[in-house]
Amino acid sequence: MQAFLKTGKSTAGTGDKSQGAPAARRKLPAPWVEKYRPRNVDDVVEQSEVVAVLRKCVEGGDLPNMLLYGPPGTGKTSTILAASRQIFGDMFKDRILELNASDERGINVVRTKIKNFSQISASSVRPDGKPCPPFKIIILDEADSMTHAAQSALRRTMEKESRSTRFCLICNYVSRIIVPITSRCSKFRFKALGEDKVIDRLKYICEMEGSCYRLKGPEHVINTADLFEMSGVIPEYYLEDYLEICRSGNYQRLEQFVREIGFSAYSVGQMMEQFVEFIVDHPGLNDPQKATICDKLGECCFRLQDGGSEYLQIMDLGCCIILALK
Amino acid sequence: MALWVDKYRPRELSKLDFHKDQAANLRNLCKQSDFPHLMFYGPSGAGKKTRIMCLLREMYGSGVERLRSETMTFTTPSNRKVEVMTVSSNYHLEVNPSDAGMYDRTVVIDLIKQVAQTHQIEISGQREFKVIVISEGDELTKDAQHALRRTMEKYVATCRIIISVNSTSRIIPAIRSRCLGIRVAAPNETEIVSILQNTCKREGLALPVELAKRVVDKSERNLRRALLMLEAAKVAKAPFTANQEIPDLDWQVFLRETASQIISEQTPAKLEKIRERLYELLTQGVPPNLIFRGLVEQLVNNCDMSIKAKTLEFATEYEHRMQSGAKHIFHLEAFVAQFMNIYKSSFLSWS
Amino acid sequence: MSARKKTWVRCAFSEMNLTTSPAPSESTPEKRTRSASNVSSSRVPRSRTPSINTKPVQIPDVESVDLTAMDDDQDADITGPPPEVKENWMESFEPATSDDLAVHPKKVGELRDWLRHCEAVRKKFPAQMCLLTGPTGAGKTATLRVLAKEFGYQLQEWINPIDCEVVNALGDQTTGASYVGSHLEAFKSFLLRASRYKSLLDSQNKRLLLVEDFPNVLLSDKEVNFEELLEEYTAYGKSPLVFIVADAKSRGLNISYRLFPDQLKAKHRIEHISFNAIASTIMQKSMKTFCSVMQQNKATYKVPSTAVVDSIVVGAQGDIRNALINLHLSSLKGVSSMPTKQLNVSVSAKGRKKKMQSTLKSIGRDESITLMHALGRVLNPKFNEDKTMLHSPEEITEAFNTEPRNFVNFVYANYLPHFKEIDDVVTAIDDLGLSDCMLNEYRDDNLSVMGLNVAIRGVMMANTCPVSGWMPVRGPKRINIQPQATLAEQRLVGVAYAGIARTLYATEYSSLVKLIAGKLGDTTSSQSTDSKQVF
Repeated sequence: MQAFLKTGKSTAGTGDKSQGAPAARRKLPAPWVEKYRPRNVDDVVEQSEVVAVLRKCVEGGDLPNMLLYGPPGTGKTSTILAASRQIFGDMFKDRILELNASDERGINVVRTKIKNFSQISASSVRPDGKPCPPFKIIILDEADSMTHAAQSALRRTMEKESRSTRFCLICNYVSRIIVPITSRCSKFRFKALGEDKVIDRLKYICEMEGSCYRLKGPEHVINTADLFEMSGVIPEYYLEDYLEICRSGNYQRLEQFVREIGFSAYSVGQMMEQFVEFIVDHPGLNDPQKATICDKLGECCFRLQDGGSEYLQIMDLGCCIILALK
Repeated sequence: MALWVDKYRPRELSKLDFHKDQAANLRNLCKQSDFPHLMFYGPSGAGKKTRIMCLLREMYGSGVERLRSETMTFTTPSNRKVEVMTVSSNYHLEVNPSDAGMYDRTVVIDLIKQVAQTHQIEISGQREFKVIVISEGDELTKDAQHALRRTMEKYVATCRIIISVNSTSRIIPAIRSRCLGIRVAAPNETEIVSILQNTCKREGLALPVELAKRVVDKSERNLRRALLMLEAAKVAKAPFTANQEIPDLDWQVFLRETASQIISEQTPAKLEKIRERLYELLTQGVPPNLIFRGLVEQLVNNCDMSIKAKTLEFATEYEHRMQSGAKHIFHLEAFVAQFMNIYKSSFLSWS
Repeated sequence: MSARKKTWVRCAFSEMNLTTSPAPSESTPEKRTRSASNVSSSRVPRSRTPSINTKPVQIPDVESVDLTAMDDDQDADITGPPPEVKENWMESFEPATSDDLAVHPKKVGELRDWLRHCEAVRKKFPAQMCLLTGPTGAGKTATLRVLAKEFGYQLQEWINPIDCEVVNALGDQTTGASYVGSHLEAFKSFLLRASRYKSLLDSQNKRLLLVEDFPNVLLSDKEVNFEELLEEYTAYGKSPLVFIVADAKSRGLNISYRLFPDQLKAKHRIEHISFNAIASTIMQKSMKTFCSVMQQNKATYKVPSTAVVDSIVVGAQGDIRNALINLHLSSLKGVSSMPTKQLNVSVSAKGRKKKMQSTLKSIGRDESITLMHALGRVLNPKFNEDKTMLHSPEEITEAFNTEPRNFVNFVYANYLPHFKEIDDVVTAIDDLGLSDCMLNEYRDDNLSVMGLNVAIRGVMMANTCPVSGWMPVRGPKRINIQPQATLAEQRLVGVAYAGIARTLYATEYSSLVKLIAGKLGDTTSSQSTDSKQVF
């Protein structure tokens, strides 16, 4: 390990920079995810309302305290980074403190690091004389994993430093943020991306990357079995088999089938997600049956998300379906 | 002297015995200069680790096979020292953060920061990044996974992460969406049989097909287990015969006995004895979720459907609680007590 | 409240019998925490007729003042009740002879034996050491004083000097070292010099050093070597030395545990006598004697009712000093009779029926119940006639809300034998599991208390037909995952061993590798024997 670490000089901070300007310095290998992060609020895909509000803010040169929430991968972090880059230009680095769950973020950090940063005064002119908004932004990524104590400590700081600092909290679950904080922020909800927007963006990226991908075309990419395989989607016939076996009411067969799923390494969580739609649209079930099954399905999904065992959850679901279909 | 499992482990992507299409895809992936984070998922003994090592070899050459093991020490924010064993080469580092228990967050973050902040010195022809292999990724706490998610993005220029998990269900969506998932299904029966026979051939032994099939059955399509069982069987009785005994995993035997004890008597006194046995299993390092699963599989055998359904309902509930609790034994015992109660009352009403 | 009470008692108590020798260096004024300010005579006699002067009167002839046991007081050969009781009223209740002591005679005997031993070896090894431990109010100091008097020793006590601390607080002396030094120096010189040089005014020539007040540096600073100090004392000291340490609940605070490890005690032959809390029967007896003393003081006291006395004894929980204060307070004239509250006390032993007792509402000692008591209350819940619980779960929860996890573990380890029916067990373990989850939720502090309550209440209510009989209490088990592989097995697995997760190794490798490695060892050894046969 030591030798492993010593092979090169430490170049701390390259990671940081690659986010903002991935290809600016020597062409570092960066995944497309980083390379095609939007640099501008208008580049942000979908979230039109949020973008509209933010654009106004950027034009006015001011930002409210913000709380961005929504499912992962909808561009929350990208949006705020892009917005602040537009507002601050080159001074972007100095005016932003980004903290995420990988940094220590207990109550002490709120008390020291955040406070110290928020107390630095920010001038209203850039070094080159252009005007610039006189505040800094603190981005608290993954704010829902902050402890309640730290959140409570934060709310006082937010008020006290409101003249010179804007806070931007990013989270997946807004319910995990304490109410005093949400009431101090303007909330922006990011919705899941629509299919066509994704295709547009992928097309654009493919064009940028060169011709080899253009031949196939993005629609093709999205619908092939290959990509299904990559994203872990389970083939439809598994779901049909599952329901069929449950209909037969044979526990042994159910167990056999569940083992088979395990061997084939498909994710039970994924399967349950697909199963919801499958059940809801299924013509062969009556409404009470659907209700019973979906009720159980919800419970099992929740437990699974919370770390429950795959085998037990899907067996439980299976038993429930067997009883419901009897 | 090495175990067969290691001795005959394929070292190159082209030499893999099954999932050959996937192997070809992986080779294509290596040809490109860039490379995303990867997540290998599949059941235990399906060959995830083998594929990861082959992939690394494909990228860095045989240098990755010069392994050394080292114990690294991390200091948690609460000033506690945590020791974690690692296996590393010049190009990669393999770690089991789950061994650090609840301190895995510190391990993951510190490790990645350390590795990511160092550069490869000889860039010529080599990759500009190192690889961190995190095995048993699904044992990572939610806390550690959250920490990992941003760190992965932050240090993407200097390091790539390969996570090996049994199932993606326990991985938070944020990590799943940041990794390219590679599904490694367990080999099917014929594949395992042919691998076993090849192995025996190279060892100069004859393996009857019946025995091979029985090994496959017993190993639950777990290749590693199958090979270990076969080797243990060989040690017990050198020229193979078709009906020779195949050694069991002792914790499974122990669990089966425990289950039959639960069926035999349903009293608090018995429960007390069961508790001792559960403690025994836990001290041996058998993870509690496996105990849960094993118990359920054994217990429902002789019950009718309504009891089965009830048992599973309680099993899921207590197993879920166990995940949010700290004392696994509480919840295991709660399940056993609950089952005893169901079984006893159904037995009473039946007779 | 209780703290204030304590110092007041201490003062009152120590006023009488203790000769204080302040730290010998003249420059250090003493801090009067535990004893009154008069550095006075050799032996302050205990007089049953407290003088109007608060300063103890010196009465040289000890025998004449020495009173017989209190029980004799009923015989009317008393000089008559004093007109008034002074602030140091406690002196009227001081034990004078070893018979007066409420301490168990065996413990008194032990201490007496030690003092005899000191006498015997006084010429050769004067620096004997002894450590007295026990709960507060068990009569450690009183016993020592009485016996010291009996043997004709003069007590000299170490009192923490105050000046060093003051200097430090003002910040005049910034360096901690000099502070530590001066404080410790003073202590050292007390130990070494107080035993050698006697006061000019003093007629006694036998002295007994007493350390009840340990210098803080000894406790806070690991660097300061208490052992060295003791070694020096064994070499140069000229008098027996007694340490008195009150038991503390937590180990960290426990002086006897921290300062006197076993090997130290063995090395310096420190006699360790540990006192127990005073038994309620003995306490009752001494309360009676106190009452009789009060009867002679009709101007000040009214005689308390037996109910009140009983409840005081119960409330004091073996702390005689506390009992005495309560008695004094409750029997002062002009005080309305104390309100009492119901309290069940498990004073009974050996299956005798527990009886209900009442305790004083306002002045009972803080009811601290031990873990074992609380466990008993949870596992064998008692009900009143109207089916309400005798001990409310909230009470128990409150007593243990600082360490909920520990208590729940104890309940878990012990609940099973108390249950007869499996469906009761289900309810109980269900609640225990729930409480485990709640305790594990770190984001909300209140949740841990709720979790503890759930566990306690759940187990108390679940048991519909408890098993009676005595069950030994078991401590909670900790799961220590055993070391995994032997060296041979590790070698077999090779360098990759480090990369295998512990759980994976346990489930997949362990048993099979054991087989392989074991047989390998056998075969290699058998091969070697084979080869021997060939040769």
